Amino acid sequence: MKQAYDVVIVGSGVAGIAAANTLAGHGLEILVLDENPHAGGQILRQHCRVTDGFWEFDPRLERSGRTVSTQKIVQSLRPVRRPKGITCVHQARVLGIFSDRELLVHVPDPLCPGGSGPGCVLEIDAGYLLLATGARERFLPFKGWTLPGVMSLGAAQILMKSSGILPARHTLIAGTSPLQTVLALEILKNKGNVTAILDENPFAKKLGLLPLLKHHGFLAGEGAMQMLGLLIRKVRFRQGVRVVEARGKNELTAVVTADLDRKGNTVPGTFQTYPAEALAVGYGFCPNIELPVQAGCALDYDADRGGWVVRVDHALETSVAAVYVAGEITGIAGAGKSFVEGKLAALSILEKLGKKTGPGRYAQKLVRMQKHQLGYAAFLNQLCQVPASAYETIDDDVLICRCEEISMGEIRKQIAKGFVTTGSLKKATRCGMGRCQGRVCQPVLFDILLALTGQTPDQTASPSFRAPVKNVPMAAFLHP
Amino acid sequence: MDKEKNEVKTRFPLIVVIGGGVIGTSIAWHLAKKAAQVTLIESLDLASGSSGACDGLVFMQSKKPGIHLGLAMESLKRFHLLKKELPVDIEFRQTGGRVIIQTPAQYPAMEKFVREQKDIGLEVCLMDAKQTLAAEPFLSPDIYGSSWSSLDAQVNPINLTLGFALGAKKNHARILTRTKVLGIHTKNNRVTGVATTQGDIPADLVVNAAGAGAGRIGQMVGIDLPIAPRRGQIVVTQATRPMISSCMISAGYIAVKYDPSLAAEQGEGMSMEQTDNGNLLLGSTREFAGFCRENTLSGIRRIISRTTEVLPALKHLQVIRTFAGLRPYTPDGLPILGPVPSLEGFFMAAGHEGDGIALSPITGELMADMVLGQKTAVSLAPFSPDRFISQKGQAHE
Amino acid sequence: MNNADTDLRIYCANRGPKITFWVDGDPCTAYEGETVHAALLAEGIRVLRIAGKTGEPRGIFCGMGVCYECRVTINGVPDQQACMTLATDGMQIETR
Repeated sequence: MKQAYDVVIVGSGVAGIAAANTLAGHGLEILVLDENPHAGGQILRQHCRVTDGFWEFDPRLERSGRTVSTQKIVQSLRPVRRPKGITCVHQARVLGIFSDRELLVHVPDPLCPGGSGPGCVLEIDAGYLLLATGARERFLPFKGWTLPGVMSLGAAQILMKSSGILPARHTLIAGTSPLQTVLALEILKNKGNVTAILDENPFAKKLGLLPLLKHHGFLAGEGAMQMLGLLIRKVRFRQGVRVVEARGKNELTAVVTADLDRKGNTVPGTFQTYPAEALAVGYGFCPNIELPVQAGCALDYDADRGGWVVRVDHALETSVAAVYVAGEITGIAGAGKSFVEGKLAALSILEKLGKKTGPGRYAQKLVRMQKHQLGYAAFLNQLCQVPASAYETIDDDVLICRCEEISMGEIRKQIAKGFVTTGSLKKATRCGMGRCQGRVCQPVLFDILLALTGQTPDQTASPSFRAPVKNVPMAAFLHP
Repeated sequence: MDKEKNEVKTRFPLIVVIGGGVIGTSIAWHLAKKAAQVTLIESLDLASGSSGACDGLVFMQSKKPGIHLGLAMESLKRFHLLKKELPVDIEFRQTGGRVIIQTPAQYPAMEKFVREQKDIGLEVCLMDAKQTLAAEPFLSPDIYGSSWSSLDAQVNPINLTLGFALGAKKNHARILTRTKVLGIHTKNNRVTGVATTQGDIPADLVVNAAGAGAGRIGQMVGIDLPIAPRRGQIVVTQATRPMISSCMISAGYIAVKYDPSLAAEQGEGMSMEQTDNGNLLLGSTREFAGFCRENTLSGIRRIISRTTEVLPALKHLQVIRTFAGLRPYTPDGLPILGPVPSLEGFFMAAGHEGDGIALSPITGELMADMVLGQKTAVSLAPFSPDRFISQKGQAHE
Repeated sequence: MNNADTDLRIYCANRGPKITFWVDGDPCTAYEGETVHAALLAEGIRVLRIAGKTGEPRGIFCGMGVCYECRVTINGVPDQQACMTLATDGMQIETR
């Protein structure tokens, strides 16, 4: 590993792979850093296994019209034996970004001089920096959501995709995310059982959102096909119900739901209990903005794009010169947008480097595709959103911060005392000061703040993150 | 004109405190308790500057004997009362403190130091390596001993700041966060108000407690103060079981005062403290880097190598966070407390560098008394801004 | 249904060579390429640690390195993310 690279890409998901390959072949030294054992991010994780080289997409993918479906992306992935100028390092955690695109990176042992276990921390200079850090899931906390057996929809998928292991013999699925149906089909395909899908979205809400898909007939059709698949297999499917409690002594044994009224409030006396070994639950996605925030990039709040997203110009450059972003961190809209933005950001960097002249018809086409993909974002993110009342009515004994074990009651108390910005509420409650640096609780806390105080997102202030954004062994700093 | 002047005297003065750190909030609380009409202005959130990015040491041993130590001892007394008085658990614990001796050369210097501390009545004793390890079994067997004082203590600086602020609020102080000071209004060489992003706030008295930013506020009224931001980085580990029972600093810091030939081997020293939550706060650096609050790899490395040398078990922990605060440095190491001669009604209360947390209770009390024209329990003359600025507000040559 | 009632391994999945790892002193089998958190789940081990303050059990939650809930001791090194670590032959794992 070198100390400086022409371009450093953080994240080797769809956007990162698309960007790296667009940049390759221009005589540039490109470094791709990813914290996972393999490349691929969340969408391609089972397809990117051990290889000496890297990955690329079949060029035919971008000629497939305006909609780049996840399925097509998966199918067109292929290994590259000797990628030109690309160095990809796995299990490399970017801990922070300092001035002038200096990255603080924790790398595993084999890359450390005289390494012995904990790895080491290196500084790497990036001529250009492209952050493609993706997204994570959002949650609506309920009593018992910390019990082993309650996991995110993504976690259940990853178990099957990465390790070929079912989340449980019988899995209950809930939340508002479109991943619910995807997961259910995956479980059934792998000969597992789905006890039920407890979709929080009432049918009327989905119907109401359909006009947002007017330019995405393909996606609407895909959703309908999934539903049909589940119907045929007689999966129990309930809509307009919310998980209110997970029960069990040491592990999950049962899940309690309540029906929702038209406004999305739980209706008293409608509780139903389901036996469960595993509950996979999710409420959509939020962008992984920790590193761009560290780099000083300005943010925008846009609920239709998944909350706090990184502000970019038409070239996907952020408010910090030579720092680019691509994929879910500019707005949650699925793999298609990530693919297009990865290519676009790479072309912008090539243009800045004088390796490509003019925007070109190709780039214009990509911009059109990007806009089209972004159109899907409003549907996706509105579908996943829950009404403010859902946050207002969280019981006092429900934990919000899983790391520091801070309850809703404590948060209510401090908000009442006047701590109504994300920063001050964190200081007053310790919420978000733990190991995950608030990755799980901060989006929840933010929505709680909005719901309880009626403030606008700007009034509560955007989140801040300090290095290291991931835990790192002390001993790793002792290596030279 | 005379009429106006009389008006000021006959009604309760309107007081504005600038800065929502530990000093500003302490002054506001002390003023509010005396039923003064006080407004605290903070540009971001409470404790979002140095008070939210520091350790919580309330260390007596490290203070210069004399006025500095005297002030610290008075402050220490007040912490015991604050524990009961403030509406937030400030996690104040008199854990005792230890100055770790790491080289044989430091030992005689520390012997001298302990003698002097004893002479002025401070409870300090010298322990050899064996005694030290018996008290703190996780310390490295390579250390040469320590000096120990049961007086030293620790506190949660964020909770302390929030406690002062909430206490002030309870006593009817107005607290304006996310409010930036745009200028100070004056008339006939006297403060009349503060211009802020939330509008003008009338004021008869203004206290500049803006920490490292106090110089900038001073410049608004043409006062040139030698307060400079000095960056201190801190490393935070995961919460873990108790590893140290008291807070600690390295002897290098103190020994060099008694034997200047040791200067070469001591850098910025180290400090360690385990919070009530179980996290270890490891410090610190002292760097002049302008207003940059970024951490640096070299800074983090220095802190970790120094602290793991003393407490090797740290190597098995993980770093979960680092931060950096801008300590308000002054050339003589003493805070600047008192009225500014060139502008009536304008007071300074900044420049505590690394002692802000420890000195905040006494600073708040003395400043409140001074601002209200009452007699102060301790003379603030040695801390007067006069030592740095002339009558016209210019810096002394 | 799976072929064995307790087996969560997907029947037709491509698997690497069989390996043995140790959980709290007991031998367990897994396959190369599986992550530690998945291999533990396949063994029926769902409680991975105990939370410090409430004393509540915790297990797999995000599965992708975000939440730090699945921390276990691996080969003597505490607090490793089970979901981000591949199981290897002879690996020693301690849960709490």
